[in-house]
Amino acid sequence: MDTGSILDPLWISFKLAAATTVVLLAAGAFLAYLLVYRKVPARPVVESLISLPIVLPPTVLGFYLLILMGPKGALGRSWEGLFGSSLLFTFTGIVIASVFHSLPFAVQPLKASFARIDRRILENAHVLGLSPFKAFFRVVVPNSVAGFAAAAILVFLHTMGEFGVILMVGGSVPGKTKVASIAIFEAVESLRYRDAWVLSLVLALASFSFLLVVNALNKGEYDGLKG
Amino acid sequence: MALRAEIRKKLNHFTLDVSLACAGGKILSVVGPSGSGKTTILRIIAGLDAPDEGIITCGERVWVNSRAGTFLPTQKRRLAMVFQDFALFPHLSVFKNVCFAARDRSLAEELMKRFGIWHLKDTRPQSISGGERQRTAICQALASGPEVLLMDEPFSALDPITRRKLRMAVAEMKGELDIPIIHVTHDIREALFLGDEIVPVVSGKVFHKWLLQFMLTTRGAGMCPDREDQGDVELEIYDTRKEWKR
Repeated sequence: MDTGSILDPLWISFKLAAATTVVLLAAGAFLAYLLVYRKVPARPVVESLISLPIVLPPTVLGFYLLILMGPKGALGRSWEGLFGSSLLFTFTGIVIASVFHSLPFAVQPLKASFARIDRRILENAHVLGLSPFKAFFRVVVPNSVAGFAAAAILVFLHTMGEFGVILMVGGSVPGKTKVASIAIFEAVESLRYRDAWVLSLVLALASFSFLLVVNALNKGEYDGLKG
Repeated sequence: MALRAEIRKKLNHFTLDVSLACAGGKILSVVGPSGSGKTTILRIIAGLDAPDEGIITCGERVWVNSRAGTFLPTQKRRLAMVFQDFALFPHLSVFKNVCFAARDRSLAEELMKRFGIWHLKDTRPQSISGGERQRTAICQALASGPEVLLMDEPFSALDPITRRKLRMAVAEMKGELDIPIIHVTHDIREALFLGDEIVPVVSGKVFHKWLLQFMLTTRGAGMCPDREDQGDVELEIYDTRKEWKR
């Protein structure tokens, strides 16, 4: 068994999941804040677009992102103009693709968490002199710790297991874009079952542990239903 | 410094149309039945809602002038509000709640000692009683050093004994503060006890005739507004209002 063929994809998956989580906690919090506290024009359209990656086949999303990030796509062209390199088949490219793909997994728990905050405590913060920006950090964030934790774990896990979108946008470049799920697929294709077993076990155990944390965080919310 | 407000706003069942003025060091009590628009008046003064038309000034500062398109955001109005259901920050201890916008932590400590909640300084608001929460809310509002204090049904959720104690505390405090205090209640006894001026509001309009009738009735009966055993007072208000509506 080649240790590199196990550790490299796991390390790339971990880096990708960590980067996506950091980006999406900020972007997801911003979008969730707008959706909960501000008047958003065409709200149903915006909410449907945000949730679309949940129901869209990953290959379809991957195809659109491939076009968008390709040399003729708006994002790909702008990127090349700014940095002089292509986005496709790069680590940055798969981070951007993952951000789109995991967006609802950040926005939905944060939105639910923000909506649970009593609006009057936010009004009280404004009355006491806090701008919406300061009130967000001093009132909304501390009262949404469970929502942020749930969003971080869901995004991280979802990204760790990504396959279709990554394959479309990043291909399978060893040491760059070959993530654990793609490595498992390739190991099975080339009959390297031992590698597939090890990678799958690591991913399964990591996913189970993280979900255990999410469920432990949510446990308190349903305790009141006991007769 | 005086607060002046002329407010007009269309609500679901009526149009709120009131003019108020409150001088520094005075309490203006807005009294009226549930759904008469009292809380909306406070929310508009606080900047939490916007009027359709109106002017609100605090001293020389213009907070709202609908004709000139002026609307000063809530956080720039330098006011404080005691909410009906406290609106304390659940993630902070009682002391941190009081210090939330305090300019001086020693003032926060002094207020907490005065209102008898210093021993709760490390406790979270959800673990203390309604009366203690209300005292925390009053301390929080005062510690922020406001130029205007708004109180929305501040004692409605309290038991009669706690209510009486807190009314007394607020009445004592008002002389020391040189700021306009606007107090909203449905309880005419509370308004008569606390208010230097009383503005009765019914269905969004100032109801002077009703006030006049009421004051005459209570004065004639020799009633003392801070007593809790005068159930017939509210009955009188109700009857007079029905008469007015006819």
